[in-house]
Amino acid sequence: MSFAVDETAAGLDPIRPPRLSQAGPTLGVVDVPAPSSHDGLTAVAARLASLLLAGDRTVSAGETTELDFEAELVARPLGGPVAPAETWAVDGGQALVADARCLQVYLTRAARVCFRGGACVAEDDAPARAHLLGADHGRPAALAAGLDPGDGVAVDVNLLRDWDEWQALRTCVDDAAAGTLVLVDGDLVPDWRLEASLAGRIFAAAAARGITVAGVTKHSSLACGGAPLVARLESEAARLLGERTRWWAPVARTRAGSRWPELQVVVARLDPDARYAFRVDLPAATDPEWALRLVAAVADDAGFPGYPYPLSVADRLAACPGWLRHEAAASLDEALERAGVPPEVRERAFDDRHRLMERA
Amino acid sequence: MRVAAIGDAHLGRSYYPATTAEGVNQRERDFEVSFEAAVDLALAQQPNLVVWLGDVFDHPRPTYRSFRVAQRALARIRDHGIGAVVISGNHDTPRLPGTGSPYSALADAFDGMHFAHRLTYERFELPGLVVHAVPQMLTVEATLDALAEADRSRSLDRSNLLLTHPRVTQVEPRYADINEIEVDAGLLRSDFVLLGHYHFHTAVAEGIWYAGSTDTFSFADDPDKPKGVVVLDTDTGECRHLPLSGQRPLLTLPTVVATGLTVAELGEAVLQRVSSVPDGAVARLFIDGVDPESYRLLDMQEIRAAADHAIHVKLEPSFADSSAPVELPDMASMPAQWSRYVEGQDLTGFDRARLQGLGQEYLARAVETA
Amino acid sequence: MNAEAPAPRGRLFGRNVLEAVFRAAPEEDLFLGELLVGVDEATGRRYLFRVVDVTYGTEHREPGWAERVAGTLLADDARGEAGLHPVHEQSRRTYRVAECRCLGYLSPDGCSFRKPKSLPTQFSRVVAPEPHDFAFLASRMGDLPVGLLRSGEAEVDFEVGIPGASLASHVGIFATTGMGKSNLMRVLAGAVMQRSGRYGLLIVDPHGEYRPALAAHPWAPERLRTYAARSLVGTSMLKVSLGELSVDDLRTAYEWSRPQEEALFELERHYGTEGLSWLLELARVEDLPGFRDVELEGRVALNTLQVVHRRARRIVGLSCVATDAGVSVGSAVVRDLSEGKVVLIDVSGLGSTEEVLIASFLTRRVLGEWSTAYLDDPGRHDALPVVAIVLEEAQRVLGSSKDRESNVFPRVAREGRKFKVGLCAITQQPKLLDDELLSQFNTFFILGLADEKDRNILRASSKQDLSSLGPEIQTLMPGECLVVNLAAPFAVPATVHLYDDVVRRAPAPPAPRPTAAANVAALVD
Repeated sequence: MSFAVDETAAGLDPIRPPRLSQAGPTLGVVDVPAPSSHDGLTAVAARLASLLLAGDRTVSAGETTELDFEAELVARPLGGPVAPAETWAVDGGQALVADARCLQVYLTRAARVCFRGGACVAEDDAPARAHLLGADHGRPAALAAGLDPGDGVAVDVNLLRDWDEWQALRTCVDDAAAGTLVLVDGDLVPDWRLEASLAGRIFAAAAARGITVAGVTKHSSLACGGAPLVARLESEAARLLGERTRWWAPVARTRAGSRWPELQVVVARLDPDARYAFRVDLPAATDPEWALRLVAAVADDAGFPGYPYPLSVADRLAACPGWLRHEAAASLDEALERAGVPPEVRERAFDDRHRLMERA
Repeated sequence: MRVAAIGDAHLGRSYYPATTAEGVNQRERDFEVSFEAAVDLALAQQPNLVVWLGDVFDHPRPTYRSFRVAQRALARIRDHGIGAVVISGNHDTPRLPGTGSPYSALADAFDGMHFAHRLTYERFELPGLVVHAVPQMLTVEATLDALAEADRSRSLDRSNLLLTHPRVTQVEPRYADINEIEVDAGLLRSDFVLLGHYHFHTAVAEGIWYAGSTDTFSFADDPDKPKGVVVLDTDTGECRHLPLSGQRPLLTLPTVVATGLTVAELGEAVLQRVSSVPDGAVARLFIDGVDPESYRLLDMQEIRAAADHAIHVKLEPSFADSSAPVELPDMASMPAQWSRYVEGQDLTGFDRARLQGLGQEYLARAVETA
Repeated sequence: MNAEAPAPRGRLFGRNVLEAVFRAAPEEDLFLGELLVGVDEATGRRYLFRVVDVTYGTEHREPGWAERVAGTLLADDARGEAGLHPVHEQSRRTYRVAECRCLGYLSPDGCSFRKPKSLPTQFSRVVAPEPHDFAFLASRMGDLPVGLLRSGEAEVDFEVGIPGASLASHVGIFATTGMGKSNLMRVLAGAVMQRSGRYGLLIVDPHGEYRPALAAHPWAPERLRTYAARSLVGTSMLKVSLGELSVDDLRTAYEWSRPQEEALFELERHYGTEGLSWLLELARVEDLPGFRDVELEGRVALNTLQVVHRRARRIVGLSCVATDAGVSVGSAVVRDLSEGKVVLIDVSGLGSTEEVLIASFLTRRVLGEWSTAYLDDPGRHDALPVVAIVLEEAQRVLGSSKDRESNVFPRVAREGRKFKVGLCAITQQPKLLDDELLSQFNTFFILGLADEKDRNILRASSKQDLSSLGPEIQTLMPGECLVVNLAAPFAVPATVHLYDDVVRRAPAPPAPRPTAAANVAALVD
């Protein structure tokens, strides 16, 4: 595998594909100097410097082995934006309301918005749902949310939230007409505890109905030689394609036989003035360039060029801000009061003892 | 061309109770004498024209004697071979229908002379001079129209002389007067303007003069300012005032400051002042800050006796808390004076008999109270 | 909520009793000085607000967000690609925030207006005012109307003015050139004329700009009298006697050094004549050194004497100065004012110092007349109208350096009120007026003022709180003003009527009774 651009990249070494190691997930093999010491900032900085400046082009995606990476990561120009007929965006949010360490009360919610002609025509922010988690409470919480996680599966807030988001995504696909673009915040890989075929079914339904689904990750963990991949692609594409170009680069596809849905992973810079490029996940069967041109059409907002505006609206809608958390905490407290739980008991259970220590 | 102008003479006006041997009010006689002297003085300047600027008579129905004085004066002017232009003023213009104007009678008798008394503008063409006469009118509007007509009628090849009898905005009035017509000096447009009405000679503006009166009628008429006639030279544009001399003096004696004086001291001071009045003069004495009680205790008989050589002495006390000028009271003659006064007034719109009766009544009451 | 309630202009969300902040509804435009009503549904009160500032608000909290967006848009413009990056949902993401001053509130029955002492309920609707919201002001606008109520840039059909009695407690008209001072003064004069003699105005006009305009007013024939230093149609000749002028008038009009002032007093003593009559004699002196040596016995320096001599000649040579003591329009002016007329003294053609000389004399005359009546004849004083003396470039006589006993104008400013004599001072530079004198002025008409120092001094002396109105004053357009008068509970924004419109709309004065033509024959024959 080599990392190159359309024109011959002078002075660059080709990026090597990862070599499977014996010991499970691999970070790839890189030549880095052995740390002489781990207890000094200078040493850490030196190590980071070598990572960020090293020529190693080995691509990885965190700990997963579910992706097959391209032999060459080729950044290529992206055609002009094509406005979708309609765009849905989905995002989820969560907040910790009360924390007794062994028990926690969380809020989760998912929101969807619909844009047509540049204007928001529908907002659907379902009320935040509360969950009691910790110890044996996960499973009842999941069941209450309509999810059967299977025996022995640990249920945490991430799972519940992800579940909410995939439900919202499915609803979007069900509601949308042909030509619609449906955007999801983050990758298109469901939580491993969710049913494996969940995503695949949704993608198939979307494809059958002419709906494009895409997941946009704001801050990707894709690595190249141990350093951020997206960042390296951005600087090299800028140098070789120009500062103001829309471009994209196929990065990986789901490995055959993987338990992940069939996906393709690309990195794209969706606006000539975008500060950043983003990882975009698409169903494997989708024409990536076409899909990216649809996404680019809604990524032109002057506030943040390059990031799909509907997703930022969904993000805001789904957020569980501090005041919501406090309101929920207050309501919980009232309910406990009504249920006859004395204040002292509540305090001892949920007070943050770290804070108390600091105050003392 | 030399024009001699005689201003207000107010023949027939009288003041104070003093009379001549013939029984004529002394001041009235003084004003007649002054008028005759003014005519003499005017004629002595060998003028080409004599003009009378209104208020020769004090009221529109003068007595025969006042009328004769004016008639004789006109005869003398005619005998000198000099022309005259005469206009009426605010005092001697009739306001009551059926009265007739004294100037009408004079105009009948002196048909070679020019009279403007018919409440209308008259234009008189004389050799070398056009005289525009705007006599007293009944309204300001009529006066302004007449003045405008006079302005329009100016000659282009001869000097123009405007004669009229207004109160001019630009001149400080000394007192309010009856039937005054106020005109702005800017509307008096002519080569020369001679005005009657104000009793002191004043240069109002370039080419505009008040001639002034022929005598000082009262203390309100600036006794310090000379009275006489004016002579206007239309060739040089000069207007000279020629004062009359030998007129009865009106004196303001040095004020007696009564504060702190005893009654005796007060009396002493008053007597001293009064005795110093020249023979035949009219005098007034201010007494400032006098206690009313002290004033009442003054020996008026003695003071009257000391003032006997004067025509009239007027005491003007200002009391410690108020000021009220009062004449030296001559109670016996007051009702008679009142009747005489009312008789001579132009009382258009008033009930003369009622006014007379009311005045008598008030006087009687005042005597009783005193 | 009432189904017919007007759509709100915004919603209140913060601050305190005197200040409020509200977020404007999308697409709402807001103007400085706009008057709005906060409707408190809970208490039924209607709070009256005035917008004192408008800022941008955004739902994005990242620092510099708006700046970055502007930068992106600018970059698109520069490349000729305007519209490449739209701001989606701009009206929701960005909005205007209005900072307001609370002027007070109307009680629920709408009858009384109170100063603000309470907060309206949070998130109260903010709406445009309705006519009845200003009903409480109607009785306080007095009988000298000057214009219409202004809310931001819009006019409200509600007449704004001041009570004529305010003329006695002094009026200031402050504006930079071109902002409409002269038009306002004409409108005020027109209003005085139409009050049929209740008030008088003495206007000293240095540029002749009021004469033609005021003469065009339908009430001018009855209620305007113009005296002019030049020969002008329709005016009375202005005449002032030397004997009536005083050394104090000279000291007010001219700058004199100490030796020059001493010389004045010396000459006055030497000649011993009334007023300044001696100026005539001094002007006629040809041999100044001889005069100085012999008559003055060398008591005055020659160069000092030369200055006085030069000024004497100038004054004596003025066409409006009469050497005859009897020639003066002083009495006529006083009489006109006491009849409640507008008296215009057109001194165009005279220099600035002569203008002040005339103004000083006339002012002393008026003050003397009114104060004498006040002291000696209260009955007559009661019958006299309130009069105001109008001075252009008032800083010439009301500045700190000019505040001395010889100057009659500060005396009027300090004492005139009880005599019913006021000053109407017009100036472009209120900062040059003496602070203490300015504090005597109870009515301000503030038009556009460019200089901040001028605005500051007015803020400090004003009888109403102007502290938050700096931006509004800075942005006043010609003809717009703030009327600060104690009769109203706050500084009232107004648009001054155009004088030409006032003239067109003015009703004809009552026709005088016709007089019958004289029957001449009956009178004289």
